[in-house]
Amino acid sequence: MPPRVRLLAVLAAALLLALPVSPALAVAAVAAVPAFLVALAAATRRDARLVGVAVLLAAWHGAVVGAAYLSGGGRHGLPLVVLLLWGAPLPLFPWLYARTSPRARDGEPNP
Amino acid sequence: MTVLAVLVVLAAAVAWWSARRAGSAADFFAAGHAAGAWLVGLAGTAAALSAFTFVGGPGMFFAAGTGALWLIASAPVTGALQCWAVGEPVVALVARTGAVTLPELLGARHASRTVRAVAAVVIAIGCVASLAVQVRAVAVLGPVFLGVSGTAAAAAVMLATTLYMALGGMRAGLVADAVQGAVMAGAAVTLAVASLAAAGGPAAAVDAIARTKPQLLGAFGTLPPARALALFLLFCVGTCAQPHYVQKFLFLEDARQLRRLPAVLTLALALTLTVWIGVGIGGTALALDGRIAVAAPDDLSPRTMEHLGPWAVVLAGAGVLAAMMSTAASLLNLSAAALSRDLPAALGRPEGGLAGARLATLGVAAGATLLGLASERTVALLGIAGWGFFTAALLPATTVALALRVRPAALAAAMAVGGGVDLVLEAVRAGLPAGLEPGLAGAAAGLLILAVTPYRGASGECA
Repeated sequence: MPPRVRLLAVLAAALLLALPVSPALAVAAVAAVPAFLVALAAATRRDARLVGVAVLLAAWHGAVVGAAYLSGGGRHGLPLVVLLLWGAPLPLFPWLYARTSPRARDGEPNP
Repeated sequence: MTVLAVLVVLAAAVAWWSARRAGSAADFFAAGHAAGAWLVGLAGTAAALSAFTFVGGPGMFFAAGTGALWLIASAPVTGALQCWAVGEPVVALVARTGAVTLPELLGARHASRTVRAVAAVVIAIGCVASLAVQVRAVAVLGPVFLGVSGTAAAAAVMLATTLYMALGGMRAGLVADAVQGAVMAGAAVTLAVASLAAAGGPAAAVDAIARTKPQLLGAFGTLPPARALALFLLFCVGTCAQPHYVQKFLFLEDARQLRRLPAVLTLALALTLTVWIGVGIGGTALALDGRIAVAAPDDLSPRTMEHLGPWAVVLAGAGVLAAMMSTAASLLNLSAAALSRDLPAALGRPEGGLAGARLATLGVAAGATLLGLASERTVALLGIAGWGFFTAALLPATTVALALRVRPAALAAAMAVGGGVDLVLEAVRAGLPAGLEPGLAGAAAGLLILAVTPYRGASGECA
């Protein structure tokens, strides 16, 4: 396993275990662990665009979960979760995948 | 009873059609490596979602409010995440090795029979246990949605599923799963819209909840935030470790199908999960307004359907049956592959061939049915070996170890230790702090084992 991936794997594992410790670590875990899996694909493919996707995914999850914490127990928590976590990214990540899929990267015509 | 009889006849027709087309192990276990994105996306979603989507999910909203939605909040991401992290390495390795099962793929990737054996054992244990839980769920929901005894419902559903899976393997399972996926999506959207309409529309439903139990509408509902976030992560990254999800990548015709797959997976998942949100919010509003009586969270969905009318009960029954059969079909095939193909090969013995696979399918179905109809305590213990167990045991294998070369002994240890950590922590779950999910802790242990073990090769990339 390459050193950078090894480091990221240790970080992801540590955050999974540390999630209950504090809200900050919980937000970090939600932001970092799914992004780690995309970063793994970036390392495997050696595709820098996937590093950007991993950063975007981490930022999105971090921002929404942070906002959820800040919103407290008010009734706007439901639309926040449904619209920001569920609704808005619904078309985004399939589109990003299609844009960064290996064939698209190689400039080949679409099937 | 009529619904069940029609079901068995349809299953017999599918079995007859597919039996002549399943002539090789690749046909039986991997649908001939000939499927496109639409078929795999619909079938994958159907196999992934169980009856919990139609019954447990809305009930969980009634109990935990918005907190229940964190389980499914990763749905927009998981389709693409699976393709990035798992799908691409799987498709590349299948093209190179011709593997037809996940343990075979892992064994070939790391040239290790031990890896193949451990993966097969993990999958066999988890699948048989999950299958027994599905049988139990049919037995519990049969009287509610089908009007027959639990034992009759479980026997009929397992007979129908086993019929086409034993004869046609995944050649039959893939087509049946895709049709069931379409049924589930259609039923889910219809029931969600009808439930919200019965509650006066989404705004009126939220108002009704806000008047009576406003704590349900907070960002985490009544769940501790750490627990909600741990569930979010478990169901987000855990999708990359479920063998019945990963199996579908082995069915793809070629890598070009991956491009459209996240869109199909996301669309199918989003449509089907509307029942969780729509019936959850609409049904909870009806219950809090006193228009339906709900004694326990799992009553919410059946009582809401009864309020909507007989057509809704029938439609929900069809959705529940489709969800159960599609999940059971994949679990049957995976466990049959592990027992008749992977374990013998890993132990240096002759593989069972198609006859062995069919016998294993029948044996697993019979065993799981008996287990599922056994005491509730047995089923509760079996329920532990579900999503979290697969996440704990297989996440490091299906992500890190499919993409990169690792030491085979470390990979075998990661799977065994991950699964063990999950089972031990599940046994003491009541004493764990909120947010410490056994499945995630097991996966973390496995990741650490792979990360601290020296890397053996110069080129770690998947071909």
